[in-house]
Amino acid sequence: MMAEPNQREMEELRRRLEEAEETLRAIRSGEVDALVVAGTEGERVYTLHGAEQPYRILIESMQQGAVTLDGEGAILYCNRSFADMVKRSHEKVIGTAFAEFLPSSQRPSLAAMLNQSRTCSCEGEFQFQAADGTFLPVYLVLNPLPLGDSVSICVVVTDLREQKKQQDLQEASQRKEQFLATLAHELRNPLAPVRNAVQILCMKAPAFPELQWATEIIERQVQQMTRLIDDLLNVSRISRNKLELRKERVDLLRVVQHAVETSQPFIEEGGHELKVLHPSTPIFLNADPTRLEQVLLNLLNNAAKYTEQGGCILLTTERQGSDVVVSVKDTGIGIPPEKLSTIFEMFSQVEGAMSRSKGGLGIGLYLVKRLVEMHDGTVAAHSEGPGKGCEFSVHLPILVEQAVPPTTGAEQDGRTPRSSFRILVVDDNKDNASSLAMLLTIMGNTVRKAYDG
Amino acid sequence: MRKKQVSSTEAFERLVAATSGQEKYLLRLYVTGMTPRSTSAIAQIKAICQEHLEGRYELEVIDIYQHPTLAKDEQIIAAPTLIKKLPLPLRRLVGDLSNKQRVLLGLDLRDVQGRPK
Repeated sequence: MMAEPNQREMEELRRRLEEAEETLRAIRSGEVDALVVAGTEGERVYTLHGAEQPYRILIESMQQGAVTLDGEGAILYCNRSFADMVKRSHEKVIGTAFAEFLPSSQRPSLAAMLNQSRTCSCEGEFQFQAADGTFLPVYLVLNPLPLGDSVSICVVVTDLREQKKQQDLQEASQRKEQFLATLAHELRNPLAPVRNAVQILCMKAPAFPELQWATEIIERQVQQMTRLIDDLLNVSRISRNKLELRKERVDLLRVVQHAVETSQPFIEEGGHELKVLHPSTPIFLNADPTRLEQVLLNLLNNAAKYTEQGGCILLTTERQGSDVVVSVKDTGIGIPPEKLSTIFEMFSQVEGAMSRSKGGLGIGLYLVKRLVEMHDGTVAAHSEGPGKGCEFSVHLPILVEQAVPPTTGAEQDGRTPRSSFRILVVDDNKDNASSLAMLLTIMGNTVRKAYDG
Repeated sequence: MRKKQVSSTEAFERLVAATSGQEKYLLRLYVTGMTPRSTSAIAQIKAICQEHLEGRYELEVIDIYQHPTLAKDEQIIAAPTLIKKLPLPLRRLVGDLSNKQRVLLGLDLRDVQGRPK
């Protein structure tokens, strides 16, 4: 007995017939981009006109050169970029052997690569020799291109000049960084014996007023030089990621006090009034006290430097949630709004007679920003505009748990330190050895010198 | 009279559908790379999926230039083609996929009168 096709089966057959008819209709109406056709070596996709347009445009407009070669290495097609690279016109290129664009010394390697590329992808660095004789370093990537029975080769050509230029720039930059580091080191060396000598003069000078005055000038200027060179050294270290922080549990107030003390001369020179506000309870941070002091000192010195005589500087410390905010506010020349966003960049300085007369390298704020960031904090600058002063605020996270216990720093009380040890000073810089030896002798030690091991 | 053999998968699917009314859709869209038709087909199918099949669909877009063998396995003859692999029965839609009604019908999301199923 014959089985009757039931409702469901009929429905399914109807649907499939419908689908087939729909497909044919769509193809005939040109609603498709491509047809998949079985070939002798697998499926081939036949593209209907228009579908290849995007690829054509891509190939024609890309910066790299694209070339198709036949089995013998003759050029079947090339894009505009390739024609430009070899400095010939399109028409002259088509039909030429690809090898003609290379110097004869490189043709054997190219031939070997062409052979290899019939079966697998290969690549290598070559040189083109353009029509006018100039050389062009290029990178070639070859791929087999099965087209029916024959095998073509498609080549992508990358111009290496840009890459080489970048490499050269990078090397030059590295050499410059190295030079700056060496420079900073070399500049520092003579300063050590000078500082020692100055210390000696300071101890003996009070007897003669002019000598005292002269000595103080030398001391101040040497300090200034030391600061500048230290800034240079620090920036150089930070740029090469060689700056290390020695973090410990630090009382922020003590750091603030040190910074204020060190900046006193600058502030007094400007005739400014400095007010310091801080909470009554201590605030502890996990920070490198020297570097943190450097940050605050930089901000205070800037405030002093960029404020006209008799201005006001306000240094405040206050808690804000889990952070502490240290702010240095001045009534100085302010910062123009367009400069605010670049103020922390290297070598950025506000234009004007004041900057030029006070000097500086323009790296202080860059250093401040990097150091603050290395402490997981942020720094920001605000100014209402030129002549309206400015405010720098540093946000730092407050220490939650115990870090390394603080080192016991010897307090400087201003008087000549006295000790009595037997000391051997060794330095191949004779001035340095002599000056240090003399200084230690004056301090009451028994000193011997040696100039080498 | 011969009893019709119902495939167990089909029966299970229907059971699940009947109880939850939320069948999972597995769709495959075969396109030819970057043609305008391909890009608009992709956009249209994605929009339909988000509107009608939110949270219960999986859409794979396959470039037939890059995967010609896959096309052959699924018996694709032209692109663009949309295949509904799940829920069964398998459905195939070729050509202009910008017609929303046509697509919904092809995916069994609408009946012939245009009413949602």
